[in-house]
Amino acid sequence: MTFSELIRRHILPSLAVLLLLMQSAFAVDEVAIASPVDRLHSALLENMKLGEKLDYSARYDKLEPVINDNFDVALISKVILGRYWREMDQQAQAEFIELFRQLTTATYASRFDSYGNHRFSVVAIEGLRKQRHLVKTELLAEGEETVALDYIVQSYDGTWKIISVIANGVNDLSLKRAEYGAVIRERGYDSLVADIQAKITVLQQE
Amino acid sequence: MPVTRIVKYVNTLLIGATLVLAQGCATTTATDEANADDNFESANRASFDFTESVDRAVIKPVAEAYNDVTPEPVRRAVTNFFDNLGYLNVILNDFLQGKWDQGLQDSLRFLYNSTAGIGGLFDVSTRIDMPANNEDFGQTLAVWGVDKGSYLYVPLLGPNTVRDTTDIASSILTNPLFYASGIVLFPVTALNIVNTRSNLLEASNIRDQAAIDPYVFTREAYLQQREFLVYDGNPPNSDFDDFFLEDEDDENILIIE
Repeated sequence: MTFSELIRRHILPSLAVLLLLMQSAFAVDEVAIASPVDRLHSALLENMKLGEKLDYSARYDKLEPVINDNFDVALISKVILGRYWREMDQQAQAEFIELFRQLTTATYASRFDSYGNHRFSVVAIEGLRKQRHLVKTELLAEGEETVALDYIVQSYDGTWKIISVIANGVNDLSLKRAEYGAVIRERGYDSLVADIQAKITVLQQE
Repeated sequence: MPVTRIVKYVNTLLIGATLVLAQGCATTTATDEANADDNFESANRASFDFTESVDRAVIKPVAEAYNDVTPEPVRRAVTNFFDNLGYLNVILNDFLQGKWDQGLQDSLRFLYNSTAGIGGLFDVSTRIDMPANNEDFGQTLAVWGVDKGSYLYVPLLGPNTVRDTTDIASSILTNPLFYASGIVLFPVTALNIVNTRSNLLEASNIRDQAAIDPYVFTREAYLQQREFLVYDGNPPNSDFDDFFLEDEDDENILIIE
C-alpha cells in the first residue's frame, strides 16, 4: 500500500466520519438552542400568512402560549425594572410580569399581521457567558430591506428560552429599561403601569 | 410591508437628519441617572420638545398631504434622486475607513444610478446586486477611534452625538446641491425635507405607539443603532448579556448575606 493509498483508503474516510460526528454533535445542540426562536418565528409566520382571515384577538390567542413557553418573561421583567424590582412586593412583581407578558404578546399580534413572502433565517449562533447564547437571524422579503433580529437565549436545564430581542442593533430590553426607569423617576411606578396598559389598548385597536 | 414596521421605528431615528417626530412628553426637568452619555439632558429635552412641536404643527401635516396626493412611484423616484445625490458622502467615507472594495462598488453604484438610472431617479444598481451601503463621517471617526462624546439632540436635525454632528458638514459639503445656486434651490430642499418626512410617517407612528417616554426611547435607540452601524451590523457580543450578569451578581450577594 502506497502512502497516498493509505491516506485515501483509511485516513480520509476516518477523518470524514469524525467530522460528520462532530458536526452532528454541534448540530443537535444548535437546533435546541435556536428552538425557542424557531417556534416564535413559525407562529409569527402562521399569523402573517393567515393575514386578514384572523382578527387581532385570534392572532393574540395563537401567540399567547408561544410567548409564555418560549420567553422568560419573569427574568425580562426583573431586568427591565432593575433596582425598582427589589423594592416591589411579590404580588406587585407578579402583576408586572403579567402586564409585560400582555404587552409583548400584543406587540407581536399587532405588528406581524400580513405576509409578503417573508421568511426568517438563522444566520449564526454565538456563545455568550454562562448558559446563554446569541441566535442571529434575519427577516427577509423581496423588495424590502433585510431586518436583523437577534435573540439572547438562556438554558434552563436543557430548555431554552428567549431573554432578549435585538432588532437592527437595538436591544428592546435595554431600551425599555432606560425608558421605564425614566418614567418611574419622573412620574412614579403607577404612571408606568397606566402607560403600559394604555399601549396595550392602542395595540388592540390597531 | 407592515411586517417590518416593528423595526422600522428604530431606523427612523437613525435618519435623524430629518425632523423627528412623536407626541413629545412634556417633561423637561428630569434628572436622568440612566444614561451617562446624556450630559446635556435638560437642553436636549428642550430641543427635542421644540422639534416635536414644529413637526406636529407644520412638517408632519405637510408630509401627510404630500403623501396623499403623490403616487408611490413618484415618491420613490424623488427618494432615489436625493439618496443618489447624497451618496458621494457614502463613497468618501468608504475610502476614509479603508473599505476599498466597497468604495469602488459604491462609486460604480453612483455612476450607474446617475446614468442608467436617469439622474438617480431609478435605483437600477440595487437590482443588479449593488445595494446601498450606510456610511457617514461619524462612523468614520468611530473607526478611527474617536469616542462618541455626549448625546446631543440638535434642534430640527434630531438625535446626534458630538462625534456624529461632524457628518452634518460632511454630508452638506459632498452634496452637489450645495454647489448649485439659484432660486430653484429652495423648493428642491423643501421637497427633500417633505419627501423624507413622508417616508418616515409609518415609522414615526409606530414609534409614537411604542414609546412611553419618546425622548428616552429616541436617545437609546439612536445610540444603540449607531453602534450597530459603526460595526456594519456585527457589533462584538461581549457585553450583550451584561444586564443578566448584574442580575446574577445581585442574587449572589443576597445569598452570601
